[in-house]
Amino acid sequence: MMALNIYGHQLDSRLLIGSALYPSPEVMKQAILASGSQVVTLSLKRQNPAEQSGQQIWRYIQEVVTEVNGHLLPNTAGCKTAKEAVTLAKMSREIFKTNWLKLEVIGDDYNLQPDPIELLNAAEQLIKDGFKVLPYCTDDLVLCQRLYDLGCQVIMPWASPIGTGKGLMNPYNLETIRLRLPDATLILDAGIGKPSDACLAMEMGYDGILLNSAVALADNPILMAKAFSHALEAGEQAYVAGVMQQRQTAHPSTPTLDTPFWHQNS
Amino acid sequence: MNIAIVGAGLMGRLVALSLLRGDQLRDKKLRQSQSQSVTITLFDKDNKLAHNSAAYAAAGLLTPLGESLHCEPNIVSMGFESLRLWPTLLDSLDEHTIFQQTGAIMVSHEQDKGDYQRFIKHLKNNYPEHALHTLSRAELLKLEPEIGRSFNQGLYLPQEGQIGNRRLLVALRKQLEKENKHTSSGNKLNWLSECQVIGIEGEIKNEINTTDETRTISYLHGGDKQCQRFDLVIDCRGTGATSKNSQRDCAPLSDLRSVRGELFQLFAPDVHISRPVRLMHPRYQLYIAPKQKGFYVVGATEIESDDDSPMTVRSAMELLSAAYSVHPGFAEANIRQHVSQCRPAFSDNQPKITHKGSLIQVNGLFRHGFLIAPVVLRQVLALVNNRINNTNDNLPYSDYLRTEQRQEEMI
Repeated sequence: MMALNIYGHQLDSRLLIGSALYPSPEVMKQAILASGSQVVTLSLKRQNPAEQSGQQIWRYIQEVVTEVNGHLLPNTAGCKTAKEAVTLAKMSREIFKTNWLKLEVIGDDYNLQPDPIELLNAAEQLIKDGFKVLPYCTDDLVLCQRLYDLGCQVIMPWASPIGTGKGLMNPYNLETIRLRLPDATLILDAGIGKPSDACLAMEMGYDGILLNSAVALADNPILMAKAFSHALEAGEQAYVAGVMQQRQTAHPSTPTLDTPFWHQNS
Repeated sequence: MNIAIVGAGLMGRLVALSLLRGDQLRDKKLRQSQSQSVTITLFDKDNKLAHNSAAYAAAGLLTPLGESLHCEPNIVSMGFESLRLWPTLLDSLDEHTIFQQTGAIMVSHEQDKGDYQRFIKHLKNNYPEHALHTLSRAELLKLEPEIGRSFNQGLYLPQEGQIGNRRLLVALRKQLEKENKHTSSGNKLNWLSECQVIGIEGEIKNEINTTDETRTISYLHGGDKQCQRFDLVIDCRGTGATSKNSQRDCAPLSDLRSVRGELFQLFAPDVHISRPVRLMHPRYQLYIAPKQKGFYVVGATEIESDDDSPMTVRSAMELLSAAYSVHPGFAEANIRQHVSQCRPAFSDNQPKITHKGSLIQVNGLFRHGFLIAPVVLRQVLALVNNRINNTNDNLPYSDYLRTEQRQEEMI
């Protein structure tokens, strides 16, 4: 596979993976290794970051990231305002010594839909402060365009709400974003349920996939991580290979010379 | 023989009582012929009420199938075996402790039916030998009339149960004190509470044969630093043995971590639920454990953090709103207590017994302390027996419970 470009860093794997919801840290580690992913997200909102109470699990995740020669991608999950997200982002930069940030600002409790206004506001402040922002957003073209104009080189629209596993709810929107932002690194984030969902997005030309629940909540997370790795590779290769155009008329792959077209009834 | 037990939580108390009774010597004749009495010293940084132990901040659920979606099958097997062992153990105590095995109920709201159906499929595929009954609304109403009002269906797991966790800690304390006064075995217990162990150091006389090895425990008690030598040390410290909480020369377990859990104790005399209820929800894991006379334990969060500060508003809102959605009667309940405590877990969330020479370490019981304690106790006693008699007999639960030689000594 070709390299994935995240703010100038070339990565071998196009899968970005979350570190929550696994049956145990050990299963998480094995699943990350099986996925081949080199970017691991982690949240710190609930771990009392001011006291660094999540040190043990953070250290564990950092060790896995080091093992795969990868990058840690702290996120601001659970934040509802730009102010809250900016504060948490600064804490995470201090703790993890990285200016990469998955920016997440939630606007609705029920479907955990990102708040576009607070998101733009936070992204602007964080970019000025030197962060490399990877914003998690809805599949709204104009919002993605605005984030890109602000300086977000990576944009992460959702496939569907977090943890639903509903797959690509609006392929038209997602394709439009890809066509209209050809130079942005587009990562499809949230809502992926099956490897075929990830493959579909890669076939559309998305640069990568970020997921968590689809692997962590599988009956066998390690095997599912492998399945996603294969699906991404298949989708990426299909995109590069160029998918054939759909047609209305059947076209036999073996020529049937004895069936001229004027023999058709309609 | 001098034996030290470090940590007087659930495991520490169970091991202490068994050693005081001489239970480690499985053969009765051997026990009678054993002339050498045992002096047990029980060290604990807490007072005897054990309010800082993970066992105090638990609900005492004995629900192996209810836990099965979040744990490995060996924990489920140990859970069922422990359900079999608990009654005998409790019968040997003078103080009454609640032990109930009238089943547990799982429910889910209509919008989360997918999780509910997945759980049923999981049980049928992985645990076909255990009984489960899917209940219609009418059947649920009959079994738990006040739960049936809010749910259209439920799952009844008839073999599940619960134990009075806090009463058991008290009962074990009283039993230890009583049997120490009137012991027939000649064994003695010295319980040093509010005592901080600061060193567990080994002294190996013979590198090849470690049976001669002794351990010296250094501790702070009443402001004084003291040292004492033991033939055997059984470490039951729980989160006290993490690298963060335990110094280098105090046998820390490097792979051990703390996982924060929070729960409520509610007084809800208007709520009448007779058996443990779990709510299946995509975001929260909620259980309600009825503890008699109108008391309920509602828990529990699971946060990857070693913070034991008081419960957060977010956790409180999650737990209470989920409880309210199960039974609106909880709206008028009194919050009697909110508890936060850390549970000890290894990176695979499995319990582990490690041993090397004169040190046995029992840890990583995570959220399954009461669920598996009797099995862990038997395994520890078998190890002690091997150590005392210099034998290498098979251990009873090696198929389920990881029991291994400690690889590296930190000291």
